[in-house]
Parts: sequence; C-alpha cells; structure tokens
Amino acid sequence: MSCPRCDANGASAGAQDRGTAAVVPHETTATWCLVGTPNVGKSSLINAIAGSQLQVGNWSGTTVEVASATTRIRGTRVELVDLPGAYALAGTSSEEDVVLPALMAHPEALIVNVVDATHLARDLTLTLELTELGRPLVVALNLVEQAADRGVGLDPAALEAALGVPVVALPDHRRHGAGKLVDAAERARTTATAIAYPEVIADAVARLAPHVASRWHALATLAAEVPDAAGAHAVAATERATLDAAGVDPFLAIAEARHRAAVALATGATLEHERRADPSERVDRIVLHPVVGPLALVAGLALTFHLTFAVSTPWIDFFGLVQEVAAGWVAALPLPALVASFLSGALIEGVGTVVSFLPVLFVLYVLLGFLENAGILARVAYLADGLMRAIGLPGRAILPMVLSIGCTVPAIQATRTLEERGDRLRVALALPSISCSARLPVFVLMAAAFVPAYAAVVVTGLYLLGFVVAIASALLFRRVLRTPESSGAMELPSYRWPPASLVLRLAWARTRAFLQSAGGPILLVVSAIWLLLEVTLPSGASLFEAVARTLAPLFAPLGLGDWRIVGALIPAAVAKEVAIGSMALTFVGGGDATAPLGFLAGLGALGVGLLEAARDTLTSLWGFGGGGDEVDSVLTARLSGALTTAGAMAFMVFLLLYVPCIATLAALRKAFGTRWMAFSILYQTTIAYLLAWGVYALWP
Amino acid sequence: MALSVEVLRELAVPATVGELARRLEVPEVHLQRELARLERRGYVRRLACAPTACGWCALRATCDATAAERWLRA
Repeated sequence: MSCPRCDANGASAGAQDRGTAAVVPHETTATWCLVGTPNVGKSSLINAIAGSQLQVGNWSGTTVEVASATTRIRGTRVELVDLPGAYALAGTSSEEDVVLPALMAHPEALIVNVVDATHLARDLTLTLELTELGRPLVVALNLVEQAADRGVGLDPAALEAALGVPVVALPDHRRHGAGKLVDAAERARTTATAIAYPEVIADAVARLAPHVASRWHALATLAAEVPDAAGAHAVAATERATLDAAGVDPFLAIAEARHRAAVALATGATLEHERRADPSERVDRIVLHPVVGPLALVAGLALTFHLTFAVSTPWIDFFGLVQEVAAGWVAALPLPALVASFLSGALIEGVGTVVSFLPVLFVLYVLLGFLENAGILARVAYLADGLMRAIGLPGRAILPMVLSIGCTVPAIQATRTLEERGDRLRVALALPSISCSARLPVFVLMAAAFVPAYAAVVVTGLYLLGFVVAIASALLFRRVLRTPESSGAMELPSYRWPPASLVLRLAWARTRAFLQSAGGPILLVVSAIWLLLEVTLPSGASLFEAVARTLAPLFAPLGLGDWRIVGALIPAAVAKEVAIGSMALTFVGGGDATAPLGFLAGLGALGVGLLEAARDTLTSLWGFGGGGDEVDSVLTARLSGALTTAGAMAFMVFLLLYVPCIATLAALRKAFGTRWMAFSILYQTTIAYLLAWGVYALWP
Repeated sequence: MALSVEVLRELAVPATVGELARRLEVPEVHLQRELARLERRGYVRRLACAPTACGWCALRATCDATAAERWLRA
C-alpha cells in the first residue's frame, strides 16, 4: 500500500479498517467502477456482491446507462457503479461514450475490470488502457468455466505477475467469487505495464503527459481519439505534426502496440491451447433450425403462459380468500358506514383485487428472468432476425419488443442500443402495442370469466396480436418516416444456467417495483372512483356512473355498452391494471353486505387457504397444469353477466392497444419529445378502436 | 482498439459485417460502429458494387455482393 492513490482509495481504506470499524468515528465510503466488454457479466457481479437487482440479461447492451448499487463490505460503505460494456475507453457509441466520463467523475474510485476469459487477448487490451489511466485496478476473470469448456485453461497468478495488479478468477456461481474479489480489492494498486510503443510515440507521450490527465489521455490525444485538453492544444498539434512528418500513424501504432502486449499477456496466462467445440453450438443446431426453431418459439411462448396460469392461479384464489377474510373483519368492527364502505369497497375490493394478481406477475417475471439470463431470449431475437430484416430493422430490434412483455418503459430505454434514430423511433412507437405485465391481470380476469377453458390460448393470442400490430406498425412507420433500411443480426451468447437465487431475486425486485410504481396510482384512482361512486346525483345515479354512461354510446359499436365496463377504461389510461380495481368497485364493491368474521376464525380460514394454495401449486407443477385452471370469484361471475363473449374479446383488444400508460408516455416524451408522445396517444387509440370493432363484428 | 486491429487484419480480404461478427465473435452492432469509426479515419472502405453491370457479369451466379455490403481495408 505504498502508492498514495491506493491509500486514498476507499476500498483500500476499508481493507485496513477490517475489524476496526468500531473505533472509526465516521463511516468510510468507497466507490468501485466496474468496466468490461459487453455481456461479460458486470451487472451480475454487482448483484452477487450487493444483493441488488440491477437489470441483467445474457446479451450485449443490457446496461445502456450508468447504474449503481450500494453495499457494506467489511465496514466500508461501497458504491458499485455499473458501466455499459465497451471494447475501448474511447467510445464508438452513446453507451460507450459514458464510460470514460464516468471514470473521470469518480477520481477516487477503484476500477474493477471484468474480463471475458473466452476472449482474453481482446479484453486485456482494455485492461492495458485502464492501467494507463493510473488508477487502482483489480482484474476479475469471468466466464472462466466457459473458457475451460472450450479447452482454454487460465493461470490467474501468471497474469497477476505480468500485469502487476491483483487478478482473481470468478467461478460461474458468482456469489463465491464475490468474496475473492473483495479480498483482491484490498490489494488493489496502480501499475505501469510496459507496452512497447514505437520510440517516437513514447517520446511524444513523455512531452505531452504533463499537460493532460493521464498517460492514457496523452496517447488518446496523439491518436485524435479525444479532443485536445485545454492548454494542451499547441503541444498536441506539434507532436502530431512531428509524428506525421516521421510517417507514423499514431492511431495504428498505438493500437498495434497494445494489441501485441495484450496477446503476449494472454499467451503467458493460458495453460492449454487446444479448443473443444462450444456446447452451445450443438444445442443451437436444433434450436435455431429454420423449421424446428419457430415451432419451438411458439410452443415456448404458450408453455410460458400455461405455466404462469397453472402456478399462479392457486395464489390468486388465496388472495381472494384474504380479501373475503379482511372484508369480514371490517364488517365485524363498529365503524361508521362511510369508513366501512371505503375500507371494504375501495381498499379491500378495489386495491385488493389488483394486488391479488401479483402472483401472476411474479411467476411471469421468474420465467422471463430465466429466459433472459439463460441466453434463450437472444435465440428468440436471432430467430426473429429474418422478420426484422423484412421490415427494415436490425435483428436486435426484437429485444425491446420481447422486453415489453415485462414493461414498456425499460423497453423504450432499450431502444437506445439501436444505431439509427429512425429505427429507435419506429420501435418505440410500436412497443405500446405489445402487452406488458400490467395488462396481463386484466386478461387473466376476463379470460377466466368468459373463456375459462381456453384462458391460456386467449392470452397467448392477445400477446401474439400485440406483436403482429407492433410489427405492422413498425412497417407502416418505415414508409411514413422514410427511414433507411438497417441491418445487424443479434449475436448469440453461450447458454448459461442462471442461479435460482438470481432469477427469484430479479422476479421479486420486478414485482416489488411494479407494486411500488403502480401502488400509488392504483390507490389514488380507486379512491377517486369510490368517491365518485359515493356522490349521488338527483337522478339517483352516482357521478362516476353519469360520466361513464355519457361516454358509453361511443363504445356501443364495440359491444361495450355497459357503463361499468366503459368506466373501467377511463382510469385504465393512467395504468392498465387499474381497470380491475375499477370493475371490482362498480361490479362488487360495497354492493353486498359481508358477514362479520371473528379474528381467530379468519386466521384459521387463511391458514387452510395457504395450505390449499401450496398443495395446488405442487399439484399443478407435478401434474403439468392439473391445478386450478380458473379464477373463481364474484367479480368474474358478474362480469360474465354484463358482457357477451364477443364484447369481452373487444374489451381485451381495446385495452391491449389503446392509449399507453402514463409511465410509457413519459418515457416516450423523454426520448423523442412531446410531438411523438401525442402521436402515440392518437395512433394507439385509433387502431385500438378499429381492431376492437373488427373483433366484435367478426367474433362468431 | 483491440477490435480495430482485429478488424483491420480480417479485412485484408473483403468481408461482410456478418462474416466479421462470426469470425471475431463480436456483436454486429459493435462491428458496425467500429467500421464506421475506421471508415471515418480512412482505414477501411466499402466495396462498391455496380448493380447495373451485374447482368453482364460472368460471376453473377456465385456473387452475393448485392445481398450484403462488403468491407475492405483501404
């Protein structure tokens, strides 16, 4: 720890304070910046260290902006900064461009360079660039087991000796590797790895270095990869002119020297050279077959929804029981009528019904998390490559569309991985047509009420319809916006078996985020609807009913003449899942007197319900969906009396496609401006109305 | 910069972005950015094809130059 930079570094300070935190008057803090090439596993590593839930996925470009998580490591509060993947510090894209500024914005930070062991020489070139920044550095070798599968063994100790900074090999189960990395961070130091630059370059760097932030900046200035620093312009221009006169191309000379050094480092750290075939390739021969692949894709989608229903239905029933018990308890309390009405109507029936569908979302998020992290979604994108090219989009444009199944907002952010603004706009405008998880509970409810035997088929069909409309929209926007044709296939990462803890943690984080972001609007909107239902006009109808009845004729051509159904569509413009709360209030809430229930009797009922839900879940898994297949509730019974099946289908299609939720509109506005946001509202509402009308008219 | 060197070495003979991506095991999107950067600096160029001449070309049955753009070291 002789280097003053290391001593000033928080991580090192944390190491020195190990076991002595009690005598330190103030909490020590540190920052670790994780840098590496795309899809090397930086976010996953942070999640393993901090127990955080940063977005991860087995494809490049998962992280498109700087994110961070905070954890406590041996008495030190450490902020782990997750940077987008980059092959070099001088970026070539908007994501890569944030890496260097983020590193310079954290001058005290320890740099953790996550290196892909399967492409060691290439990644070590970035490592060498990082050493030239003159900052404390640790190298974490990731994907070591995949390298071993390819017949490449690594010697971290040899690499550490050659590089002069700690090198740690991370096992695929990163939780164990996190401890090794923390140990290595305590030994972090700067290094000056000798790279044999041509003499004229070395001389120029020596003269330029005092005028810029680091040796790397001097080299990048010579290669014209960064703008000249203030006060260094004259010196830089002189040095470049000198090199030019000497016939030396600084960009090529520097790149070649670094590459040679990296290859030498990689060669010295590689134990075996004989390579075996990547096991992923053998699987891909089947999965990516032009005939078998698309069939497997559709079957996989249907299986995903089938499992979602089979596993979550018992828990929806359990939440329904919780509502009944809570309503019984409220009825047993000596409360004023208005308060009791609010509790049982707005909270228990309105908000509770929305919450009861959280198991559906959780199961869907578990399945999506598995598909993302196992590398299967990347295969989906690859299979869709031909389709994407047919509409003039690069293959990876399918990824935001697949992500939309979870939530449209991060999907809009993910469009940033597309090169052309026209492509980003087309995809972003098409995304609201794809069903997000907020719409799923409404579909589950309606399908259970009207087509219980074919619920999974109907919901799968709605998702496919969303994709078809999105693709057609992208094609239409291509003609309208006259964007040039793009290309660029989706790359195929190796298959990885994601740890169950990671998948469950991500699913829990997404479910919690859904509840946190949607909880406020749901409570607010449902409370407002309850209030409007309580305000009675001279005609005897409530204010909410009067407004909904006024709008009802507009929806009559769609088979949606019932004011309660129209009423559900109004607040659902804020957040789609609110439609359930609204229908629960207007169809059920406060309508029937609930029998009072004793506290112990209620607990007993809940205990029995819990055991039954657990049993039914196991049965459904063991029996492959043999558990409960329908959502049985008062609401579904009353819904089926208020609409025809054709009307219910039109309702679901309209809800699928009409005006995007507030969060999506905000994301669109942020990315593309108010004009395109307004266009999206108009476009989506128009196609929703037309298609819903068509479905109602054509439904047998 | 590692990518620059590898791309320049590969482009000693003409190649499409897809071919480069497979050989280097790098996503096409990153290769396109790298190629754009190298093109701006004058190190690589697109291999121009004259579509009007294809009808007379003896190699038209085997050539896929119209299907995907090829790149070459300048």
